[in-house]
Amino acid sequence: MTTPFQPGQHPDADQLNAFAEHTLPLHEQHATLAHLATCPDCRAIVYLAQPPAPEPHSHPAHTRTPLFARWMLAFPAAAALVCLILLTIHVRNRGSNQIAVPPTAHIETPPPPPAAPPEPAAQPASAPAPVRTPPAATVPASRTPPPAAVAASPRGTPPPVSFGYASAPKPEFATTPISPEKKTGLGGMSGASYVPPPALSPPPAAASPAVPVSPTTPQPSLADRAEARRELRSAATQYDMPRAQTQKAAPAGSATNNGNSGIYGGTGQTNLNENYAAGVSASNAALQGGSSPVATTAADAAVDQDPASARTTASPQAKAKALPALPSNLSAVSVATSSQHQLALDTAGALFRSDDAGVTWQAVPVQWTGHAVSVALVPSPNLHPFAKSINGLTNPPAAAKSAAAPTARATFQLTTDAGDLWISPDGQTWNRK
Amino acid sequence: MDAASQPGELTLPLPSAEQALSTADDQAEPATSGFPAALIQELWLSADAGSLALTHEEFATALAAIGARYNFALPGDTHSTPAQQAAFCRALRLPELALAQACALGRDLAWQRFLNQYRAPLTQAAIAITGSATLGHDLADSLYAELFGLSERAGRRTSPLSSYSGRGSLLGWLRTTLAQRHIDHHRRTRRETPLDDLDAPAPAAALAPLPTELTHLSQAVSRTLATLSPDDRFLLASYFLDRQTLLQISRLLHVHEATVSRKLKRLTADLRKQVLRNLHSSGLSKRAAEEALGADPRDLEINLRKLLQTSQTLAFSDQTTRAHPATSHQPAANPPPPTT
Repeated sequence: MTTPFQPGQHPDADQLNAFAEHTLPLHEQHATLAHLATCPDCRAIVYLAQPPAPEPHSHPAHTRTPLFARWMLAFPAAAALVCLILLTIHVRNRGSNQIAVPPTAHIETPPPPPAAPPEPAAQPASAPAPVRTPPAATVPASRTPPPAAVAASPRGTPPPVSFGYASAPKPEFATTPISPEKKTGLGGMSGASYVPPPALSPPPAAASPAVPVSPTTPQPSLADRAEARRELRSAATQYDMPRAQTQKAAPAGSATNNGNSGIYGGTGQTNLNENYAAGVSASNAALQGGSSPVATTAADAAVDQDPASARTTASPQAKAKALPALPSNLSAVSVATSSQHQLALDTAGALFRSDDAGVTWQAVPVQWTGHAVSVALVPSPNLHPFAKSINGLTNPPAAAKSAAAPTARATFQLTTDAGDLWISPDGQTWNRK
Repeated sequence: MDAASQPGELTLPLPSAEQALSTADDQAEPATSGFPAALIQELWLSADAGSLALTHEEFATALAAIGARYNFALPGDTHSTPAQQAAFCRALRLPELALAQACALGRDLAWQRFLNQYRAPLTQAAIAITGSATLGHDLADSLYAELFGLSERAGRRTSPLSSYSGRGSLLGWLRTTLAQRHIDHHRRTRRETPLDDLDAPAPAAALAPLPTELTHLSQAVSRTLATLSPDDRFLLASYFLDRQTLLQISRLLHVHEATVSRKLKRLTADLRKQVLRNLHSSGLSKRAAEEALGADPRDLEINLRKLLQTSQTLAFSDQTTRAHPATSHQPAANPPPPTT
């Protein structure tokens, strides 16, 4: 074939096959290509006659995997690992937070019921005030607010009670026992902790003019405090007043407060401790011109209020450590301390007595009916009118101011779950009140 | 009649067979085809024609006919020299040519060898072409019958194998023949489509006069496509009209696939420039020519198929798609043609 294909003339199969196999001479190749360019049927024949395309090699080495194909598997694994790490950190943090909760919170007394309105002074001191402290062990630690929160809450912060002598705010007391060393720091008078609320102002300067304790007022230096303490102690020695008498005078002051339901505000804790009694005595001493031996004790207590207030901000762990170690291996729920004896009531209702400032404890036989829930120090029945006046929040008569503290004596009072009151002068023998 | 044939077997009473038998004994005589006897002997031996019961005369006659048909691969009226003739004959696929000629002459040995070698590939090719195993087997069987010479022409049984020139492979020739038969069959069956299925074309609406810019654009496109070379025309027609893939085009043109892609890209860019040039030459400004190129192609009265192809018939692929949409075995759609 040397001439181009005429219209309607098509190359035969041999020509098309030779063209497809590229075996045609050049002129025939051009002629066939020109025909194929204009003849769709011959193009179709040529394309149909082509052998099947060789299959690509299916060797794995030639298969191209997309980039980051392995990373696609690594991303979910990394995400899962990160989630696991975050979960572990979260769980550990929660665990640490739970550990950080003070274990002593178990002995924290729950918030008391709303404070009763001030009762008239004629109300007897033995009124069934809500002095019972339920076993704090049943209170979940996580639900117990910290002491500061309790003090700051409206329910936990009682309205300041004025005693009439001055604008001295009423300190707040807690029945949480204190460590023996603290008792010695308080002049051996206190067996219970003195926990003034942070918001409360310290006793006025009139109660302790030499040693102001108000945190808002300029604090004396340690040397000044020591000097004041030495002077006060020397004064007590000068008057040759036995230390025991000054200590006995303190409960008289505290007994005046017993008539005020024995509860200070929202703390719901018994307030019978020598610290508060010392504070009252200090007020009395101030009224007496500071020459009374009680004033010495009061000053001593006032001086020791600083560490006491520092103890207030102590952690609950420190409070738990300050609890007396009872033979029953149970925690104490109520502690009452007099000048010579110390009583402690554990969570099981067993009463223990100590005559050596909590070093050794002896079980007191049960002489009462029911389950003992609290023990406290109350004034003896022969209350001085001065104490009554304090209890009634009235100004004491001037004649009674002179011999008030020395004649005041205190007895132990035990409250059962039935509300019965049992009293004992020494903590060993108990009689129904 | 071949003595080795069995009763019931088809025999080809071809004159050439008897002639071959009569001329096979006289191998020493000079070849009547004009080829030197040494060349004939050389080619006959290289083709292993003796094992196919093909004589020197038969083989030389076939070679002479093929050389005369294709002018020994020389263009025009150029006279071939004996050396060119010898080179042409040596370049042929002599074994396959001898087999095809022997089969065309009805040699049993040749048919046995042909069936052993090409039966399975031919069936596979038929299945590949038709896209169906049943149709493929039918197509292959019909071609076997045709190759065996069951059809008569002027009282003589003719076999298409006699048209095999040996310039290409015998298997390629068989595949091409199968494709031709398949298209012929499609043409016949397409004409037998019921009249109910034919949609009568709507009467041509009165053509509204085109805007001047579109008229200029149509003329510019026509002039541009008219100047295309056959290679470019074949490339555009294969890619845009037949929707052949780059791989298929590259295999047909024996170039790399990327080469075809580059050619297409360059060709479309040149076409755009040429159209712009033609628009500018027709009186449009450069900006107007650019705007004219952005016209909607549906607004143009341009038949690119008609412009690219002289033939007014649709492409076979389009015909197959319209007639048998489900059995169409055309390759997947190509990427959209670049805008010109």
